[in-house]
Amino acid sequence: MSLLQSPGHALLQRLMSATTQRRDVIAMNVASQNMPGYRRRDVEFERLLVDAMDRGTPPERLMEIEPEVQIDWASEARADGNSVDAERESAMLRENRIRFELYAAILSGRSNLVRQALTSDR
Amino acid sequence: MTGIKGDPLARSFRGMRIAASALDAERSRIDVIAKNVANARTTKMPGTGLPYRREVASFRPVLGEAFNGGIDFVGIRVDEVVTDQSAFEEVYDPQHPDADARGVVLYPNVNTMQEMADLVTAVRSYEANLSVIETTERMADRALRLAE
Amino acid sequence: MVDGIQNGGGGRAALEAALERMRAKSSGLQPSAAPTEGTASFGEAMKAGLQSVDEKLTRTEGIHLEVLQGKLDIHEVASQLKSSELSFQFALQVRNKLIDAYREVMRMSV
Repeated sequence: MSLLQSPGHALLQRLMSATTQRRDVIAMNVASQNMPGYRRRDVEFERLLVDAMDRGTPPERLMEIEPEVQIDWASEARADGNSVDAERESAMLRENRIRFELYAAILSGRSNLVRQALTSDR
Repeated sequence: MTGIKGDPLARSFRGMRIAASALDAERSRIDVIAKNVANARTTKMPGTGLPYRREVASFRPVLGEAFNGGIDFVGIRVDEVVTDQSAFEEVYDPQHPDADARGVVLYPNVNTMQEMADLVTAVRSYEANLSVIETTERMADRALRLAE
Repeated sequence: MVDGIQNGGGGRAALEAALERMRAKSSGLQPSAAPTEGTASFGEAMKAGLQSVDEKLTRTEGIHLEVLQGKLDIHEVASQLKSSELSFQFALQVRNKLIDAYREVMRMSV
């Protein structure tokens, strides 16, 4: 195992990228909250990864999975066809930020160990 | 501890999601109150020719997937906005353009004081739910800091 | 964390025992006998110490997969990261002490 580029390292970075992308999609939802007919969108990535893992995809192949922007048909629309709930988007923004910090904590935790091993003075 | 696959930290966020749904529901309720207050003196509605009828928002629980399988409470939403069928207010005012044969004007069945009280309740509920969300977020941040 | 202590503790105990034997032997004016007996168990202690460090590093490898599968909550992740870090630091210190001891042994057997 290469200390600096384990598959987990790359996957965590992709998770962080997808989370950033989701933040942007949420911002778009909020901006479109009064547009008739607009249905909210989300970024699916974690679920795609887990489905692939359940199908038995090996960890290296997981790198080929890309985040997808999907329309959330499950959320109910109001009379004008718009399904954006500003409060819910705001809550999702908070969730998203916490997930980002979690991935970053795991990533930096491991990088920390590597750094300590490398800079040990013996 | 089992969460939901593909939805990391769903357990941590459950309270926040419930509270977020309540925020939306309370905001809808506040909209209805605002409409009642604005139309408190509307003696003639365009469609019916009758005075404005007070509206009330009713809530219902939303059920969804629980963490251990099965059904669980995940939030609330506005079920429907019902019309209050109580009687219109009658005021004797023969000079009023909308006075009927008896000289009585019919006013909406809106009690502005009651609406104000309902507004206070709705706002307090909104703030309480917002507090749940902010506290949940702070707790999550605190738990993350354990790793530093 | 307890696991880490046991792994590192095994190494430390072995190294201290080896050093003790060497000191006893050298004070008894039998320098030739000391290195052979000491280095056999010493080599094992060294190997155990280095393995322990590598283990701690790889233990954090699967944590993000567990998070994706919903098996871990935030505080559990944070707690595991922290304990992995402490175990790792401990194992690193043991490894460093082993290297110091090795150098001391090399110095002594001249």
